[in-house]
Amino acid sequence: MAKKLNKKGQLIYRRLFAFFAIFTVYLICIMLITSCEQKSNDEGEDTDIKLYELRIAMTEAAGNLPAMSVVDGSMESGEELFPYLSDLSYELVDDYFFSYSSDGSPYELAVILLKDESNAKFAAQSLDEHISKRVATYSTYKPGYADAARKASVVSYGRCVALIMCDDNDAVKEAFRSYLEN
Amino acid sequence: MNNVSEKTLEAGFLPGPGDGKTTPRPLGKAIYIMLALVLIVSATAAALGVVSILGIKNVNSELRDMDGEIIRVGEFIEHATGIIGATQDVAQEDDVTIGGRYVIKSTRAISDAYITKDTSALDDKQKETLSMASAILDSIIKDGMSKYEMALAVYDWMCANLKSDEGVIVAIPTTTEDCDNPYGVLKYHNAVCVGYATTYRLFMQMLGIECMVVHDSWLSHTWDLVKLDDGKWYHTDIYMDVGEGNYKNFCMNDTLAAMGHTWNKDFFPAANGMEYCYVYKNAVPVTDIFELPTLIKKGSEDDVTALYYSFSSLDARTYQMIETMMSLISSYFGSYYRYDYDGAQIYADIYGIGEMSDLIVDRPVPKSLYWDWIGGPNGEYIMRISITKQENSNYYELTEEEYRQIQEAVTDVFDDNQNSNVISAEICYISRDNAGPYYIVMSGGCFYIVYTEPLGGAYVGSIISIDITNADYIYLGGVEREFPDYGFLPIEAEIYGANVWLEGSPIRG
Repeated sequence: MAKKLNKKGQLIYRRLFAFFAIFTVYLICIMLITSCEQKSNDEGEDTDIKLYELRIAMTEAAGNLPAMSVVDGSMESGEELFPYLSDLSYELVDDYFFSYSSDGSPYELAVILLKDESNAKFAAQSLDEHISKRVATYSTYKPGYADAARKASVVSYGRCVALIMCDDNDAVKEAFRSYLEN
Repeated sequence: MNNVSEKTLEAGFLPGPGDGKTTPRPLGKAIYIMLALVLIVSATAAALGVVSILGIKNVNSELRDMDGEIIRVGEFIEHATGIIGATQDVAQEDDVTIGGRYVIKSTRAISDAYITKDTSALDDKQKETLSMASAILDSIIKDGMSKYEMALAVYDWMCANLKSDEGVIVAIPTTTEDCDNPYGVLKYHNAVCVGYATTYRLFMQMLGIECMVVHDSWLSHTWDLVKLDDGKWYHTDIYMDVGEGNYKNFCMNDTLAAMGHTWNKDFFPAANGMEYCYVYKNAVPVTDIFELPTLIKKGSEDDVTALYYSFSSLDARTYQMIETMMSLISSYFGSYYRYDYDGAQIYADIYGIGEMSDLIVDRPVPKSLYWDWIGGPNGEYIMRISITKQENSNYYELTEEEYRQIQEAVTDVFDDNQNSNVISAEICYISRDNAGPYYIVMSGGCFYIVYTEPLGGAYVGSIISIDITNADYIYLGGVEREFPDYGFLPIEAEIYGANVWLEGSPIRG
């Protein structure tokens, strides 16, 4: 067809050809990007998890809490303090927060945001071990706190694994679930 | 024709069979742009639709854990929690980490330096530790002391001069620096259990007494094993006794220590001595259980925090009587007050905390009483009593109305038939023909009546009712009053000539 065109026509033809070539590449890129986003949207209600907001939601749901101290992954000492919560390798952790009673009473709220949710089970096990250690500590130094510590819960949703130790674990679990589902 | 062709050629198209008209250039460009935009939008929409239709997914969307179990994305999972039962114990004494933070370190270098008088191998911190420890021993150890006496002297000093660092129970501990070694303990007088245990061991080793630091099976607590004059080992947990110094955890054998501790018995030596068990050495033999209230009251008034009483034999009935008595006595520690019905004076319970004139300002610190039983080395039964101060408890005084409500609520439920359980008229019915006074000590439906005359008996049980309508007079707080027109009597009411129906068993006739 190009041979049938004059020079001007050939120029236009080439421009159109280039346009459609670029357009085709664009189409392919769009499809690739879209498929990735589709995967994320299918699997990741967690694409926009803000641990700060989650902590606020869980803290409000817990009701009356004593004065709490908080450490999280954004702190300079975040990685150094993480082992007080979990013996999970920090390389597996995307972010975390650990809110605990400043006076040592059995009130703790923590969430570990994993890089890969396939490690959720292991993170949960580490939090279970944390509870065991707290019970042992209380049994020795403050026996009156041990029962409350035993009632602590560990729950997970996607990449998030939470430790809940307070007077109303169920309310905090619901807040945890609601935030991540929405 | 040529003009048309030229224009057409300019547009880039061959002249066609039309009327020779050509599209102006700007309009052609606009069409191109519009067409491009339409195509781009359509392509994007189509891409989304194609992906949706074909269900294109990441190949890793089906996640599996290490065991191959599929983890469903977005699933809320509640994990079962439970105490990990397996012990984390380690079979060694030193270099063990307790509570994930505190390390048991040997102090042999310091104690050896004390014995050999050679401090050349010590660093500055160790020298300072040695200096502080030496000064303490010089002040509390006397020549000729037995090992037991030296162990006791050090225990007394540590309990009196050190305090527990409560930061140990915080999730991220806030304990002070060096709270887990003798340097910090002796310098700042603030310690966690590791600090107490290693410091006590240092003192013992300086005195030439064999001593080991024992850690529990959870790696959460430490105490000491000391070898005394009889060549046997004894447990001492100073941390648990600090502040009170009640010897409850001083010189225990394995049996006594096991009541509150678990440890690796395969690694640490057995503590099966009897001679120096503090409880056994200091238990007071009791032959008359009715001496107990007086003994306990005196102990409380003397601020004794631990009392030990032994009973050579104990049948089931006597045991029940003691338990009932102890329940009644314990109720007098801090919880109940009786009132002067003029409201001007408030008196504390006779077995509790003494007399007060101002409830708010001069209220003394309430105490709690607890007791338990252990077996003695010769088959006797030993009752251990702890009397502790509730320094910072949320303590609320009961008002008269609250006390009355409690009384009525309990008796309404438990006193189903007020006249059906009278044991016998002879024992339980105290007629007005009997001369008084007798004291009714009452708490929560239980009473303890002591007769001065003429029956000379005592009863323990529940007061069903007290009919005081025909009482001659009653005393409250040593002051004669007209009897009140309500149904119950406060504690320590002296009643003359009232008819009392009781439910219960006589302790003695």
